[in-house]
Amino acid sequence: MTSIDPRRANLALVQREFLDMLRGVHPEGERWATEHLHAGPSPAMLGFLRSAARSDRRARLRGYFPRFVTHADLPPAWLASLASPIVTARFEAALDHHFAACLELVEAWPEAAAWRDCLRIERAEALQRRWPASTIPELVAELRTLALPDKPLEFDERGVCDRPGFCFVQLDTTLIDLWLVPERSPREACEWGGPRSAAVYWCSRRQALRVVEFHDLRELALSLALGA
Amino acid sequence: MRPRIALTYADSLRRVIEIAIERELVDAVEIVPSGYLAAGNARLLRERLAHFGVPHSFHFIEGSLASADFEAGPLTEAMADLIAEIPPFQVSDHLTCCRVGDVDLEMNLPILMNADSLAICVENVQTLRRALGERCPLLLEHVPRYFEFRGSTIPAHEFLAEVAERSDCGILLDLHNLLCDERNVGLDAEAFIRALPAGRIREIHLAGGRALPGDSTWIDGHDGEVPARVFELLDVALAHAEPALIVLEREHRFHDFDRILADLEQVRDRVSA
Repeated sequence: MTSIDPRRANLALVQREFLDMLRGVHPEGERWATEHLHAGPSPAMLGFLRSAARSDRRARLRGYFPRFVTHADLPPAWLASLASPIVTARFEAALDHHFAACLELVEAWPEAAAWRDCLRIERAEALQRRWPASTIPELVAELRTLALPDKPLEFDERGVCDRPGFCFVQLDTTLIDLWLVPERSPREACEWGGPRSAAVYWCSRRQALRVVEFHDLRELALSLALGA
Repeated sequence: MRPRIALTYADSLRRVIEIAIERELVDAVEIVPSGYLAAGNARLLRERLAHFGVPHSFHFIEGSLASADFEAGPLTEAMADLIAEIPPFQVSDHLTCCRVGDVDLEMNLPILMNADSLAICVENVQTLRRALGERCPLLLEHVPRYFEFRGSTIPAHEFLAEVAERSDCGILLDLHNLLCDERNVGLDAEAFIRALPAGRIREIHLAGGRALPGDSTWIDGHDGEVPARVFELLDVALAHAEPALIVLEREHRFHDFDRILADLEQVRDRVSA
């Protein structure tokens, strides 16, 4: 029988309580932070860390593709083999695990301008793969013009926004950003039903499952919280 | 010997890296291979790195080398496989604890620094070195101290130096992390640099960040231009040590490519001086 190193057991206890405190699940987190930390994290910092921490990597990896393995990176044969899982279990898992966490973050940092610019940059990166002659700054500038940033997104009764360059479907209070291809639109997708069905339909057409593409919630938190 | 200069690889920086290589601003690439590790897609990683035709280093983020329950296993095996398949000239990971048991926050978090945690870190790093097969130098990066533990009894520079010495590893000196510590916990960054064993400092990271809205906390965002203070710290570091690699980290907000190139020019000018 393997004996447990008491030093490691003690440190593990402190570390577990520390992580639980950051996740906001420690039963006496505030007291713990006061006892164990010098001038603990500021409320903003704690909010940032907690939001970024409320996730589980394995759950996220089940729910969407890691940042570095986006559709555009994969050869067609791989993409075909991956398309099916997207529209079934993985997509639903993404809704459960991924969008909920995003929503928390969006609510924590309701900086609409940062959110929109983040989407623009992501979109520009995607468009550049299609039209490599244009630079990302050029595409971002074009998307800014198209988006008329002073004008809020407007959704129809089905929760669809068809603004050129920005095609969103609103699911509950979560925005799903659908990839734009010239010949298709969210409205077409919504012919198949409500927003959730539209999003599934869109994925079935191999347009990416999107809220905002990011590697982990820390990155999204940074994008949302720190965006100019 | 003149250090190599690298930019972190991100898909969005592909063209910038090409330009930087053409202009002889960089002669290496550093990559965080986590996505490829998770997807088991070494082929894609190899293709991307081969495209540039320059040496590469791996900057791992999943080790959580200060975790009490760190052990060799599938993760370290995957890291070792990747290193064997696409050999880097050096690898690095962080002295942080973001994982205990089944909880993994995937963040660089401050650690408790006392005699016991130091001994455990040393054991962990030695375990990782054995698991990686000692194919290339392993470097340890200190992380920003957004806050500090009351139970810490060892100064941060001593802790880092001791772990590196006892485990015979290199040090990755992150100058933007030090800027965070200067602004957040009042660190004397220049004294920190000079207190480290010069021969252990094999890599330097530069980056930009910003303050949280409505808060003075400075975050290591890797999302902006390199602040002037970081370049001042680079001067201090280059006067103290001879790193093999200097890396400009840029992982978010890829919209100001000219500024990225300008930052690289500043690095090149300093190492050429």
